[in-house]
This record gives sequence, structure tokens and C-alpha cells, in this order.
Amino acid sequence: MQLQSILSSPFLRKWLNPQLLTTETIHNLSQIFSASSPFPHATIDNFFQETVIDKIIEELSQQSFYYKESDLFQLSQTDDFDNIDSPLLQELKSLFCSEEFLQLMSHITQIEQFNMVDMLGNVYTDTDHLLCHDDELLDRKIAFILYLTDLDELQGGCLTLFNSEDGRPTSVHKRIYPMINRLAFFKVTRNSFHEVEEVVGEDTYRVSISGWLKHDK
Amino acid sequence: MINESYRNDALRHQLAQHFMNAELPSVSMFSFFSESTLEHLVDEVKGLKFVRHDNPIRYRYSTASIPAYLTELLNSDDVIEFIQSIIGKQVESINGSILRFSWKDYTILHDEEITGEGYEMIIDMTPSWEPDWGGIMAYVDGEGQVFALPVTLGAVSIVQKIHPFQSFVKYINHYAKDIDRFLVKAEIIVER
Repeated sequence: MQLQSILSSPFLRKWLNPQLLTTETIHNLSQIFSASSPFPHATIDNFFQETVIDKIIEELSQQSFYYKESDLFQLSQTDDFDNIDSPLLQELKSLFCSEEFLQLMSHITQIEQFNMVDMLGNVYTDTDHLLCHDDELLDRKIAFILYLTDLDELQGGCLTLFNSEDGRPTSVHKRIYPMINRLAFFKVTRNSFHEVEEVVGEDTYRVSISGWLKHDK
Repeated sequence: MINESYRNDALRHQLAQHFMNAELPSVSMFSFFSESTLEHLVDEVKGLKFVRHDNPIRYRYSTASIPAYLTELLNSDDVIEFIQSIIGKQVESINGSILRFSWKDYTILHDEEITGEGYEMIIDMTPSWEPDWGGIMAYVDGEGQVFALPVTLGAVSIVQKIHPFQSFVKYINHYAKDIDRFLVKAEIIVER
């Protein structure tokens, strides 16, 4: 599908910020994505239209979150949006699974084919964390996080990207802070080492929707 | 040296039974060392020089060699005899190191960490620690079942490592502030 026809898709225009849907913006994003260190990644602020993001936040707050804890993480998650009783969130997943959206992401990431999407809601509160890992599984191509709360440096919860050497993470290269309506995404590789830093504060909530664009052969 | 109550044969027998029958063969003893011995150990640990280990995908913590006083104590007749009575094997020696975990430190389960069969001794050397701060040492069997060790100053745990045995130390959160957690991790070498 040509970029121009993707950008004029009524489906995308119903949800996404119209300023994003220009050829120039997509080309810029594509360059930023491929040139970013320590591995290809990008962020898009004001990703959804304002009215849309408000509805998503409201709808997600009505869902059930399940506490999970292991050596690697401590957080609460919803089920995949395929399995929750929310027409809006199911529609959101349909958007991410749509040919138009996946083609748009292909243009940005230069990854040719996506054919599956996982998507769920997350809440990290005081002391919750996700330690360093690479996300790599055969079919995962792009990991994404849509932030639904603002957190500052003292509240933690940022996405930390690590430099790597000889296949192991070394030092912190970059921190991406949660900001309402910010979409962060990165290419999943054997060196895409990242973590979610501990959230600090009893009344601090890091709420997000995350998932993967996948290619299942 | 060791607390008088742990010289009692009936108690040793009871502990040995517990060790053998536990899902993960293990037993934890509270106040195992006498109060003066424990105080001495805590003082020694505070003065040690630690080396940092930082591999974010697997661990973040520091280690120090066991001081001579503790090596002698662990390899004393009292301690060796006690352990033999619990695990039912002849013990040759006990060697290990002291681990220090600060805020943001942890160890993660990792395939390369899977160790062979054997016996391990963990001594909790942390005064005033809250389990809510993290830092709990836990063992995981091959099916993902988790067995957490008690968080009490002076608690001594003996664990039999069973393949594919792994252990981890839970991430230490910000409530620990500048308090460090100290654990002695020692291998119990038994006669083949």
C-alpha cells in the first residue's frame, strides 16, 4: 500500500493525531527510528487525538488488573485486549491490527511485514519494576508502549535503554519518561536490552498499554 | 559458638527429618550462633571490602571474601558435626563469600546459573531488614515453585541443590534507602 493512501485512511484519521499523518512526518520518524542508539527506537508524542486518549484512559481504568511477581518483574496487567470485555479497547486493538496501521509502522520501521499484535494494559505502582531483558522471542519484531500517565524523574517508571557489548548490556544509554499519549517503540533484537525502572511513591501510578507487533511465519 | 539448644540430639533428629521431608530439601535455624558470636560476625562484615558485580541482565550486587574468623567458625567441629547430622553426609569443608545487596540490586534466574547437585548454607547477616524491601533469597525448582528463605538476622539455612536448581535474590526497592543487606552464601563440600 502506498504511503499516501495509508495516510488518508479514514480509519487512521478517526484515531490518530492528524499532524502525524503526513508524508514528511513519517519520513522523519523513519530516519529517527533507524538512526537511534543504542538500538532502533522512536517516540511519538500526542499520538492519539486528545478526545480518543481520554476515552482510552477512562476505559482502561475500568478493567481488572492482575498482580504478577517474579525474579524479573513486579507489576499488574490486564488480559490481552482480545479477551477483555471492552468494545473500545477491542477496537483499539483492531486499529493496531489493521492493515493501514501495520503498513504505517512498516514505513516507519522499515520492517516489511507484521501480521499479529499482542496488546494489554499495565499498572506499575510504588516499588513495581521490570528488570533488564531483551524481549526477544522469535515472532516479536517491534515492542511498543503507549503511556497513559505522566511521571517525572523522581517518580521513576522510565523505559531505560542499555548499550551493549558482546551480547550483554553494559551502561544506560537513554531514559524515556512516561508522558500521557506518548508512544514509544523499539526494534526487538538480541541486543534490545531495556528495563522499566522502579516506580517511587505511594500515590504514583505508571499506567500504559504495551505489546508487540509480530510476524508469525 | 553455636547456640546450646542446637547440640540437643532430639532437636537435631527433628531438623534432619524436616530437611529430608521438605519439598525442597532444606531447613532454617533461627539464633543458630550464640549472641556474642553473631555480634562479632556482624561487626566483621561491616568492615569488609566489597567488589561490585554488574551485569544488568543477570545480577547487580557486591561480594567480599569470608573473613578468617567466619571461615574458622564454619569449619569448626561444632558446625561440621551439626551439618552432618542434618544432611546425613560427611562434610569436608565449607567455603563461600559474603554478598551485599543495596537499593536496585538483584539476581535473576538464568540458565547459565543452573548448578549441579550439592549443599548450600545461607546465613542472614542483616540487622533490621523488612521483607517488603525485597532482598529475599528464594530457590526455584524445575517447575517454577518458589521457596523463600526467612529474613531474620542470624538465620542459618541449609539447602540441598537439586537439578535444575536455581536461586535468586529479589530486587531491593527504594524503601531500603541506604541500608545494605548481607548474606553469607557458602558451599558445603561433602565426601564423594
